[in-house]
Order: sequence, then structure tokens, then C-alpha cells
Amino acid sequence: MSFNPLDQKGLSFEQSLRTIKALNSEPYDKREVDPYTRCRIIAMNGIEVESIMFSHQFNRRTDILEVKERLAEGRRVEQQQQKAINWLIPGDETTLEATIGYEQLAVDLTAWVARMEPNPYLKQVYDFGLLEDFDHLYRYANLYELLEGKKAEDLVNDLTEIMPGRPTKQEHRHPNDDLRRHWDKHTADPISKLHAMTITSAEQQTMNYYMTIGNRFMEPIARGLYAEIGMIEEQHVTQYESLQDPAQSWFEELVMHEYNEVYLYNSFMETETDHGVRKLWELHLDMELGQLQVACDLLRRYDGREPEEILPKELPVPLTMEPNKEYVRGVLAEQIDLTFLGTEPVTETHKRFEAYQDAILANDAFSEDVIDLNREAQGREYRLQTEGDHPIERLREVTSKGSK
Amino acid sequence: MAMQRFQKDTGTIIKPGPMLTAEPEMSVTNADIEDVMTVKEGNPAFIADTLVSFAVHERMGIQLFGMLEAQTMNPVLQPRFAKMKQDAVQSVDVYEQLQDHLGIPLTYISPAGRATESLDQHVIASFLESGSADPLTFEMAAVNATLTAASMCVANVELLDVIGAGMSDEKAIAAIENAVSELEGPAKEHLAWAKDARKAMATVLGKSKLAEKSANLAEEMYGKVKNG
Repeated sequence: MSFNPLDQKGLSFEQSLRTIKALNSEPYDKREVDPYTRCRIIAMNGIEVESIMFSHQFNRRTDILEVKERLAEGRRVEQQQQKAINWLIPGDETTLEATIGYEQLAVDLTAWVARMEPNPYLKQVYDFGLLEDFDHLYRYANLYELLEGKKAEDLVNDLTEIMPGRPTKQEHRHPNDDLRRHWDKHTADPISKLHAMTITSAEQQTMNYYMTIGNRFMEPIARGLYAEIGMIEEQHVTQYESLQDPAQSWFEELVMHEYNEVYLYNSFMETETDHGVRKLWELHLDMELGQLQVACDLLRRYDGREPEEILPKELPVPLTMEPNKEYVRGVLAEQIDLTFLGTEPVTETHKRFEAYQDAILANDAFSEDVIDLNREAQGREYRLQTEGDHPIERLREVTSKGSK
Repeated sequence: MAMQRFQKDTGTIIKPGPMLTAEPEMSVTNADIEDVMTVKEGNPAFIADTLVSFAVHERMGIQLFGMLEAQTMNPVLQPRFAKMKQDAVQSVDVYEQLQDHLGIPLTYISPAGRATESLDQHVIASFLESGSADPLTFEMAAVNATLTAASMCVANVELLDVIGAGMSDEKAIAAIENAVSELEGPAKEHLAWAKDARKAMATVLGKSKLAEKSANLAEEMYGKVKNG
């Protein structure tokens, strides 16, 4: 159901405060949880973390006491929301299991965004990143089987296929080849603006996660794989954050952050299958509506603008976590060999790409080693291909005897 | 009626600069702009880009004065900024009528317009550090911001006049002359006021510590009443 968030009062700061006990959410059962419930939880944790970090950055750029007070109050509520969401993840869900959840989210969130994106260049950027996160899922799934003896299909169910994407070793690019052109704030479709914010938040969360927990493994192959993919996630954050218009003022960005949170909580509330989690999305939506009102008031008084000047009249079509197998296969078939030269996609590798690859990989990649090791251990690599052979012949499965 | 909302749903179009992307149906070239303009002489696309930036500057004036009106604790300045905001709305109206007359789409986002918006936005954003300013320092900064904005307004009107004088299309010349005559009064008035206010404030405060102290106190009291 679409509505105009500006017409809703939401909850005030005082009404939004919860006890610490209430933040200690009852975790889901990892054996029972719907994979997309897990994905929505991961997504909203990333959104809340971005909101908090943005608020901290804004706080460092102003000394207007009233603005700092409103930011501090909003940030306190966002911190509570983040705990309530992230604490839904159970303690017995291993780091690798959470990682597979992160990558399933990356694949199906990015695929949905790419399908819905009206700007062809932005869509191309999402398609490009999609194939890379798709490959990360494959590498981590093999690590999961190698280290924990379990199959990723028990986590992702049949919702997302697991097979090679653009090979991770080919994803390492010079920093100047991860920058992208950005939308203009006056002409971009509202959904384009929200897409960029959402995907940036998700990738940033993944980058932060791998940066932090990649060293918590004992096994060298695991430590190496997280280091390698962690570097790619930095590339992804650079890529996606580049899509946003730097001409937005601080107050405008604050309003957009709150609006995006309203949009996502409303989307997830409408599509959530878990009753308890749905109630949480509903509660947080009310909180964000209140925070949006505060942000709009700051925009009026400190930026001299009305929120109606920058916000759409009603929420865009809800973001939906759903399978995108056909779409992913289509992108795989057509774009596997793409890379970027500066801000533009190219089909041929170039000198800067090759030089960077040589410097970073030295002909060795943990992302390849993990497949070799799991193939050696199991007699085959791990894949979950529900829709037939891999669309790219050279990426079809190699057995331990070298045949496809 | 001055346009305030420039978003995709109001039909915005843009000539994307090097680091910009826009949907194909919203992207225009110089040739596209020149096709729809009534002015065909010289470099019409440049004239379009420049006039749009003038209108943007006035719209940013609406924002600036709206912010200053909301933030000032001075009972004399508050209605002054409110008036300047209204003047800016009328100036936008004049520029939009001129654009319409010359065939420049009202929803066109020009590169020069984006650059102007950025410049003016940073003037507004300079007040993010106003927390460390006592009331009188804030008021002086507000007057300085007005001086900056008004200087650009006057310069824009003068340039508009020069552009018109360089044309041969009589209808375009007449439309521009008409716009200049409506714009220059308020622009010069704002600039003169800002210069005079600055001199007046500095003169009084430069001569008397007591005056400075009293004025700060008065503003703080007014601020408390204003903010409840």
C-alpha cells in the first residue's frame, strides 16, 4: 500500500525509546527461518548502520546545537533499532552462514534493483556488481562445505542459484576503475535515488563485516578468501556510493536517509512472512516516520526548503526480496567478461587492469584455491544449479578428474 | 507562478555534464535546446544555460532568505528577510516568464544552473557553523550572505542587459529589456540595504562596548520569546 509519508506523524523520540531488554530480540531459528526473512534482517541492519554513520559525519560538520541535538536523538533511536534487528540473528548461526546470507541478499537485492532501475547506465552498474556478488556466494558456499561440511542450499533454499559469476580473481580493478557517473538530484527517478542508497548501505555493511571478522578464522584458506573478497567489497562501496549526487545538502541527505528507511520498512512490512519480524518492521516504520518529520523540520528551518520540493508524492513500488534466477542467468550470459575503464564499461581488459591484477594477485587467488580444495575434498565443487547448465560453457563444472 | 519543485515528475530535462547520468528521454543536447528556442542568433544554448543559472540563483535566494528568516533572532531583520524572500519569488517569476518567451524550457537543468546552485548552497551551508557565533556575529554573517547573494543578483541583471543589447531579434530584446526593468530595482535595493546594514552595524558596535552587549542581550531575549 502506497502512501505519502509526509502525511504521517510517526513516533516522537520519547515514544521511540525502548528498554535494553526489549532490544534483546528473540533470535530466529536458523533451521526454520525463511531465507528472505534473514535477508531482510541483514538489509535493515545495513541501512541502520549507514544511517548512524551518516548522522555521525553530519554531527562533525555542524555546531548548531539544535541540529546536533536532533541528530543525537535520531541516532540514539537508530542505534536501538540496529540492535533489535541484528539481535534477531542467532548465536549459533556461524560467521560463514551469516556471510552466505549477506551474499544471497547482495544477489537478490541487486538483481531486483537492476530489474527495476529506469536509468540504463545505473542499471549497467548494478548488473556489473551483481555478477561479482553472485560469484562471492559461490566461493563462500564452497568454503562452507569445506570447513563445516554443510551445504549452502540449507541456508538459501532453492531461492538463489549458486555457481560461478564473474570470477573473483577477475574483479580486482585499479581504484580509478571503480568510480562511476552519478544521477542528478533534479532529474533522477525517486527509485534511482533510493536504489543507490540501499545498495551502498548493503555493500558497506558487507565490507565492514569482512573487514572485521575475516581474521576470526584459524584456517588460512578462510582468512585468505575473506581478505580477497573484502577488498572487492571496498570496490563495490566505491562504485555504488559514486552513483549519488554530491550536490545534495546535508539536510537534504538527512531527509533522504529517513525517507529511504520509511520506504524499506514499509516494503518489508508488506512482504514479511514472519509474524514477529513483521511487527518489528511495523514498529520501526512508525519510528522512522517520526524521524522523517524531524528531518523535514530541519530542512525547512536550516536549508530554507520544503520537503515536497525533493520528495515524491507517494512511496515507490515496494522493494521485494524474490528469486531472480532467470534475470541473473541473462546477465551472466551477456556480461561475464565486462570490466570498467574509468567510469565506462568495456569488453576488453586494458593495461591498467592487467597491471593491477599482476600487482595484487601474482598469479594466485584464494578464490580459486577454495574451489580447488573443496573439489579435492569432495570429488566435485559445490554448486546449486536449479535451472540447468551454467550459461557460460567455460564455467561449467570441472570434476576432480578435470572433465566437465 | 515561480516553480519550486524540480523533479522527474515535473518534467525536468538536463544536459548531462561529464560525471552525470540521466535517463535518455530526459537528456538534451545544445541542438535540442536551440530547436525549441525562439532565439536563433549567436549561441542560443549558451544564452539558455546562462539565463537558467540566473533563475537558479533567485531560487536559491528564496532558500537563503527563508533560512535567515527562520534563524534570525533580530525582530528588525526577520521581516526584512521575509520581504527579500518574497522579492526573490517575484524575480524567479520574471526569469521564468523571460525563459518562456525565449522558448527555454522551464524545467531545463543547465550545467551552469547546477554550478550556481552549488555555489549558493555552500553560502547557505556556511551557517552550519553558526553555533559558535553570538547573536550579533550571526546577524552580521546574515547580512554578509545577503550582500554576496545580492551582488550576484545585480551582476546577473547587468549581464542580462548586455546579452539583450547584443541581440538583433527585436522581440527578444524587448522581452529582455522588460525583464531587466523588473529585476534591477529589487536587486539593487537588496544590495544597497546589505551594504548600509553592514556599515550601520559596524559603526554602532565599533563605537560602543555597551551597545554590543545590549544588542546581544536583546537578541537573546527575542530568541527565547521566538523559540518559546
